[in-house]
Amino acid sequence: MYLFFLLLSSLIFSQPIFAQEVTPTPNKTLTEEVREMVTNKVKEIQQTSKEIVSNVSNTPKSLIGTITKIDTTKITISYKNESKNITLNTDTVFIDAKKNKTKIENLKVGQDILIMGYFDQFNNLEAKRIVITELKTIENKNEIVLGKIVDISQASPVFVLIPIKNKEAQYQIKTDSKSEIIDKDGNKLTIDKLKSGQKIIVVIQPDAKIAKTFYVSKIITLDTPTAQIPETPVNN
Amino acid sequence: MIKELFLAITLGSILGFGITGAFFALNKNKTSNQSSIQVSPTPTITNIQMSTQMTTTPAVSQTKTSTTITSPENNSVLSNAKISIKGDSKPNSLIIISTAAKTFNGKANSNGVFSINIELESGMNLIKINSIDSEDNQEEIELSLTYSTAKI
Repeated sequence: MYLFFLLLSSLIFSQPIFAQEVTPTPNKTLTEEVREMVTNKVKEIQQTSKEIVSNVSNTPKSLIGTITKIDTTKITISYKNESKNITLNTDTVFIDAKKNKTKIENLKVGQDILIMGYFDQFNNLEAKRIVITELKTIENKNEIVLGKIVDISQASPVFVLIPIKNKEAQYQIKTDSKSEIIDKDGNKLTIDKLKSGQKIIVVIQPDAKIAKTFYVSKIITLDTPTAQIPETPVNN
Repeated sequence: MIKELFLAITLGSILGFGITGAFFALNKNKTSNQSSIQVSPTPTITNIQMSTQMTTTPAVSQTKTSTTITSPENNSVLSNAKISIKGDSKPNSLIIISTAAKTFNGKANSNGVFSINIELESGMNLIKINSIDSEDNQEEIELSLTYSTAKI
């Protein structure tokens, strides 16, 4: 009985409190704020669009991609899961992989092309020059890593680097006579100046011959080693 | 017996109403405290405000902490192989620019502005621009530039 009264009283008295919470007065302010934000954003986008249109119509632009659709007036290309429409006209010049002039009939779906031209107001590229190419030849495989040398071989030009921001990762890096080594002021250094514990930036790319090994084309040293980390043998 | 029962019911009721009254008073106090903070009336609305702000924050505040390239524009066709990559980053950041064939490096000034000379290869160049600040934060931007002497 007592519990019944207690529960009944709680329900009766607590209902109006929730009703007061649900109808806050600052709702109008919030709507206005959102409206203001949206208006500002629209203005910003309009300004950016104007700038883009004025820029793209005057300067030549280029795109690369793989042909997914082709007809006499239009080509659709795809690059990194993004499609773009290319419009063709009688002035469009076609160049084959051997840098000779060719015809549109020689372009096929699946071919990689480089297109140069001008963007129209619909963001389609009006092609002036189309060059048949191969995406893999222009790919930039370089990776730029900031890390610390944790292990450097005395017997071979190999060292192990752990990225500063990802201690779980590890790179086995191979140098050769073409690897450029400089300090942060641009002064040239030799490989013997590299020590364990040293913070460096490397420009690397996967070694085609050895798995999980990277070839370094440039090393920039950022400091002199502060703490000597015990060396462990490098797996060759 | 009836007297005792009556007394028990009366005492129970008084105690019950007392607790309910106290609960009511506490709730009322809590509500008045909440309504005095006008900026965020309820947690739900506060969340909406936050998410709206996050999606509509002007690009200016984002660019303060990131690297941007001011020249040349992405996808440009250039008739000179030797060009300057100009942009903004964090003050005194190291800038490393890598084409498929070569790597160039320089430094942003105390205002974060940089201009680094590079050399393009013939055709399309997929360029990676990295900036590393004094706190070892690294950012990468990709830029596509085409070097061609053909008349476009």
